[in-house]
Amino acid sequence: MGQISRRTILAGAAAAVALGRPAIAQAAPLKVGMMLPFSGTYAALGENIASAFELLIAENGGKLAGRPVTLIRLDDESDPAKAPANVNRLTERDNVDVLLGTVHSGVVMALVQAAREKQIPLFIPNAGNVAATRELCSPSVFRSSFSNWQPAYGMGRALATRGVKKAAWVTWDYAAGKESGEGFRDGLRAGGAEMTHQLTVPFPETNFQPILAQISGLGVEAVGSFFAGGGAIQFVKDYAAAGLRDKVQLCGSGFLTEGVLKPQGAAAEGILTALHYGDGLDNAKNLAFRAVFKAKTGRDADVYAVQGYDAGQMLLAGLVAAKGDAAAVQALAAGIRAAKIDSPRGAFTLSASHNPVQTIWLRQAKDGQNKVIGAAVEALADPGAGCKMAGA
Amino acid sequence: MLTGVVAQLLNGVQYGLLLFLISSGLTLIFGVMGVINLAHGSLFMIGAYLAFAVASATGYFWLALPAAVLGGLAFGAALERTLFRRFRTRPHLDQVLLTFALILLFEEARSALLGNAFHSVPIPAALDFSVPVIGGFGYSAYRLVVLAICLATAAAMAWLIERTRIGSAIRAAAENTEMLDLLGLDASRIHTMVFAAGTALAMLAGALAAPLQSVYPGMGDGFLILSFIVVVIGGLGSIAGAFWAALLVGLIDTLGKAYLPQAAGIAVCAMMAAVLLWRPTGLFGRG
Amino acid sequence: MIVASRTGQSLLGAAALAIASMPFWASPWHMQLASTALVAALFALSLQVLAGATGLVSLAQAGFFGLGAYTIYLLGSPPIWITLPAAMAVAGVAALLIGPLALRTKGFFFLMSTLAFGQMLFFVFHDTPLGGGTDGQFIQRPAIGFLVSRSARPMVMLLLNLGVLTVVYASLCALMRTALGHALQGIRSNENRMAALGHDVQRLKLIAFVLAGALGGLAGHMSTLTDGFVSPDLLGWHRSAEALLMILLGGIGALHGPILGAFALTAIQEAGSLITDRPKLIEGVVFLLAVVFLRQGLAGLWTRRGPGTPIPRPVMGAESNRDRGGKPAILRAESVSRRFGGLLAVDQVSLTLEQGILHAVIGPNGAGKSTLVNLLSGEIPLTSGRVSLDGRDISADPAWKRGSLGIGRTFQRTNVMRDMTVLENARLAAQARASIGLLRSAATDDLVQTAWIALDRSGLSAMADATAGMLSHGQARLLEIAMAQAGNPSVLLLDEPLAGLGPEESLPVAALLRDLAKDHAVLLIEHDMDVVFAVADIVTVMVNGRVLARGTPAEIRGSADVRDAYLGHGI
Repeated sequence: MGQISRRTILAGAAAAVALGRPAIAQAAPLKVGMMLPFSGTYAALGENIASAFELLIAENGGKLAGRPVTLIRLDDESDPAKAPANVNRLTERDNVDVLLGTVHSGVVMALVQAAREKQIPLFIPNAGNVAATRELCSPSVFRSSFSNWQPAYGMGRALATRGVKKAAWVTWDYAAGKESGEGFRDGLRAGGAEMTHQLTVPFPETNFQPILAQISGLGVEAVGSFFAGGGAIQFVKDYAAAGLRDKVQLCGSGFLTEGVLKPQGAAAEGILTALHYGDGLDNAKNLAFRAVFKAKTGRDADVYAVQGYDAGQMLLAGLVAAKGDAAAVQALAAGIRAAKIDSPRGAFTLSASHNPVQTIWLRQAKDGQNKVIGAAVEALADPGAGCKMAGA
Repeated sequence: MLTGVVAQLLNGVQYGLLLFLISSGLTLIFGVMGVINLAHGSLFMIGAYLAFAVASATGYFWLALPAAVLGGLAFGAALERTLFRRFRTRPHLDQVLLTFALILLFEEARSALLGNAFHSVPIPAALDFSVPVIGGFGYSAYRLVVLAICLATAAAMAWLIERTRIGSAIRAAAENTEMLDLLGLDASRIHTMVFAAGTALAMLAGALAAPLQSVYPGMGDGFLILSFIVVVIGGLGSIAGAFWAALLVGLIDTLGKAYLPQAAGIAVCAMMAAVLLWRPTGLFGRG
Repeated sequence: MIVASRTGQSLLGAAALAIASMPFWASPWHMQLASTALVAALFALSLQVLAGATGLVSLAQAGFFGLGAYTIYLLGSPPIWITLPAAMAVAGVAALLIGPLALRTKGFFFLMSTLAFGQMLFFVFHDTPLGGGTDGQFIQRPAIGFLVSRSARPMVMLLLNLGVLTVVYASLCALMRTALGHALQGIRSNENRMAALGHDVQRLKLIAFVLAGALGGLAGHMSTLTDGFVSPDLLGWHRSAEALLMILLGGIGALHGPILGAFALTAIQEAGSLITDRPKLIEGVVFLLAVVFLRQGLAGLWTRRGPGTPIPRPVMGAESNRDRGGKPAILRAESVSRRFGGLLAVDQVSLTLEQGILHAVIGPNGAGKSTLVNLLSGEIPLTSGRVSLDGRDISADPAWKRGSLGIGRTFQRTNVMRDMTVLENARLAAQARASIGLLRSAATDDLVQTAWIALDRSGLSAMADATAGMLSHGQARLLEIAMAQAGNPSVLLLDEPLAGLGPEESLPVAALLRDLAKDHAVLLIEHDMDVVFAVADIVTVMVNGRVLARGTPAEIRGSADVRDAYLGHGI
């Protein structure tokens, strides 16, 4: 593989134009377009996804199913309005065979659209909009991460198991937060508990004082939440500063404490979260992965890195089944559906709607780490409602 | 219920005062120099990153505050001398293009120098506790200190502007640029001072906010629009206007989120529109 | 606003042909890239109707763009001949609702109030279920019959976008030549003067706002048709700011500026993504260089700033505009007063102006003379009293209304459309009161003729094609008078028309004043006593806002009171 320079792409593109679209040959390079945020608020996430994906390819000697891999990075700026043009850059200008992306759930819609229309395999390494593996599911769309519904369901279920009867959900007022809220509600309900309140803050507002002032009056035993990044840091700190930490158990989708535990500091101690991964997961694959990732990048691996890495594993499994031909979408999909992905999060398979069927781990923040304290739900699949997989 | 309302009011005031620090610089720079500075939000971000750098290098957060003020004065003066000076008499739209370019360049510089990770500045240990307000609702001691610092800054500014020679020069300049020449004052020095002070205020606000919110790329974006709204509601160039408008915006934003979350986004914009329809040059605006 | 010259238009046409031929030589990607640039150009052009042509900088434009886009989604993707007019109608109606509110503010405040209204539209789609959520929605692309195969889509959309942009650009070029186009440019140049001439400035600005909104909706419609995807971010203020950047990059002074800017920005972004992982850095540097070195934008590189093509003088008919027919005009002020805070600037002044009579008002500085003129012309409202024209009470009418009823005026400090030619200034004055349709060509013979007659009468014909801002002081004073009479008013309010003129220059102007009094009711404010006593029929003396004396020049000359008042004030 190689991080080829832009100029080489230009030269290559010129050659491709001269030859017409080259027939798929075993030896022809496989072009993977990585449309990820490399600037702005989500840049760190994009970097880890890209690095882990590159790691997987490097581990395979720069080749997947015999084909050398060419990676093309494109910064999506997390801007949905620019997303259609950016997707076209990869699919039309660079003629990529495979798409990898992205973090922002609005931007991913443009990727899903291209994958569906052009039948280019798309691997979603983060964005959790349920639609991508429900009503918008497609043989060419695969997710290596989670649906928003899953971690929150796990959290709700775990709370009910621990005896909580009433809980509130606090979130940004946008799709991911609401979809997570549905998971939380369903999880609580499955355990005989109830979600009594849902409080929202406009996205991406980080002034949480208005919400916090209401919580002690709600009469709930736990507060579940969906925030990520800067919002998560601030919410957790403000929650503690308001003196709520010892009164109402704070919990949430794992992103609440993912990658932000250090800045959250002592305020995060004791927070329960549910996620399909935990840094301290004690399995051989995870330990090895974390060591290699650290050695390669100098950064600690996190759930985003795992998702990027597993996107690579899924692509590998599919390509092997399709004998290296990424355009043979049905064969690729069949291969990925049949595979058991040996992930650092624990092995998982893909559901019929192409979303991981995975264990949701219950974690507790302690000494700056998300300590896995058990499984919240094992082998949890997204309901996948509304998915009509063409040709599946 | 009462607890909630009191807490929300406190929050609104504290948020509004932070907004005041940012927008007072903006309104001064606009009023005195006639420059629209879209990069003001980036200055806020730079202040927060500076606080992070100082606090993590020395371990003392309090050092970050003088660092932000002094760094802001120097940085602001340098910006004014090299760039903004030339754009004072250019059309506002040219200033928009210039400062938009600066936003992009500041972001890129930040990304190259400090990376894209989220950072946090711990609240100073001495203030890391909750002060019980009525009814068991705790209020962060650090937030109360921020509130006090903002109020002190506002008072100092009021004194400076109303009672000193420099202040009267600034007021004269905000009234009419030619007035400075009439008073025999060096307009260019006043401009440098005002721009430096505005920059320092924005960076101080960033440093104060650093422990309250995390330090991350693009953190100033939200504040930029809100502080422009404050400037407009208060009336261009009016410090008193910025003060009351910032409190108003802080309170409406905070209360809106608490009691009408669906409409909170629209509320502040609608209020600005309403003020402009009622008084087309802002509450404290001239003519 | 510069409309590209013949050569410029040919170059643009050649570029359009090159784009139209792209299906023969370009890759689908380059066609899509061109489509993106065309839609961006259309959007920026829609904003140029406000920013460049009318001088209104709006940040609500993305809101209208988004409304056009969401119209397709909300209608459930019917065919294009339904969605296209619907998108323009929805955005236009929204602009019609927002416009009257936003246009109550001016300058920077207008910028901010449009920001507020634009963001409110954004929140409607972002925070309510109306638009299908924060993540955005796919659009089932409307069937256009031939737009069935996916592989043909880049080509079809390219040609469609090119066609729409061409039609819009050509229409706007034509618009700039109409009475409306000229009036909008007059507003950009000098809004207050346009109102004083009798143009209904608010209505004209609203027309521009609605037109821009509808075109913005059209741009959003084409964008969504091209991309097949809507999201609330389309309405965000960043989008408006980006269009503004394109305009500035391309040149705010030229109608084709936004087109150049859109293509330049698209090229910069594409080049940036090809050569570096940090395209924003390239963008930032390019913007910085552009604003420092490229003051008129790209269009300014090969367009010299200056007056437009000279308009040939039409063959004069025998008619003259001197005979208005009907009965002579009478403007009557009854006990008018105006208070500024604690100061009574004009106190219970009554006077009558009649056709054929030159009524001079003299008095020391601060006597309230200019305020009186402003009260009569409607620039400032009355505190009390009544003003009537030919028996009709006009006390509550705003300046533009009084102007349109036949009250013409000049200003103490020269107040003209500085970046337009002398003839264009006079023509805009003539247009204000001529009952021609807004969409008729501004260069209709009778308008131009009226303007020429006014210039002839003021002795400015030789300077007709000079830019007004370049005139000498004396010439500018003459232009003031020419503009005041070009509107064919019945009443002329002349506020120190001789101010700053040397004796040599004063003489012809004094003769002109005498001449004007034959067919107008004239009010003259003047300091030069020699001139006043030479030309005036009646003289009113004002001191401290009050009428001190009134009479013929001879009576006033002999009045001891007047002499005392003047001596008391050191004159």
